Amino acid sequence: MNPTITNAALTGLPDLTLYAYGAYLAVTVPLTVWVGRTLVKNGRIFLLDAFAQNADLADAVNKLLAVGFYLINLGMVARNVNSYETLETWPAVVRYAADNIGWAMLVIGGMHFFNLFVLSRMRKNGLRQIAPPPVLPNAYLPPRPATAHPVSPASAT
Amino acid sequence: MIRQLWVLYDAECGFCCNCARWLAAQPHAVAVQLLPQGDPRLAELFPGLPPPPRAELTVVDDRGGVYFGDNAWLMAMWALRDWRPWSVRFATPTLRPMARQAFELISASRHGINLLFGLRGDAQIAATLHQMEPAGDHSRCGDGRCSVA
Repeated sequence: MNPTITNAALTGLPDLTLYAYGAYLAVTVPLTVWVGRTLVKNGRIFLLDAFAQNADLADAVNKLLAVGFYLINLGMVARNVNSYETLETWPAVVRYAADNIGWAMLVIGGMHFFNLFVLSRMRKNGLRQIAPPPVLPNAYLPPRPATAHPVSPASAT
Repeated sequence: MIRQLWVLYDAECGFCCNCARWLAAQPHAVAVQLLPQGDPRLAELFPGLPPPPRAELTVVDDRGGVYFGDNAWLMAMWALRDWRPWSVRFATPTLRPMARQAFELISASRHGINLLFGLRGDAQIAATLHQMEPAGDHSRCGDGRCSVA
């Protein structure tokens, strides 16, 4: 008997691989969507600061970031729908599902923290654009009478 | 809220004049006006302005604050839209000593830089133009004072 052919017809055991895939996808896809939606919902406030309260730009960048997040994570999830052997016992199903769900969670978690890092960097950069002067004056001009004030921004251009 | 800065540069120094022109050409976050050190308008604009050490870069804000040395450098950087984030970074305790050293190095060696690249300040060029003018003939310079600023 060819040892690579181990399906139910030959071994008499049921093929449970599809159950394993089903359990795996039932957890990872909703998880990806939930994390993605959380990022979109809570990332908006960071992006508003990053882009000087420009809501249109913030929403656009938010959407673009979300698309990248979904593509990478769902792509990774899809790539892992491959059990190289036919799963014939329930413990094997649980092992397969747990192993792959665990990996997916770790990768999504890593992506999530990377996204937080990017968002906080963008926010900090945006806040630096409207930062007050970084240093205090070394000296001050002596005060002068309020009349005839040539240093006002309106008169001296 | 500071709305305008006056940047006083050394017009005797070609490198400084080039820097001033670069500064003027950048997108500004606040209004910036460039004035050469020792300009007669200064006394009228800023009575009581303390003289800068070694004719170095000086910045005056519209609330009467006067900045010298690396403070002036950071303020000039702060006035530029693209460089404002860097002015905040350079002002942090970690980078501040480095910024001060860099400013002092460039500021102290500016005459060497001029010699090295053969740069001449606006003031020197104006003086040369003035010398080339035939005596008594002010037609080419209008009011008799040549200016290249």
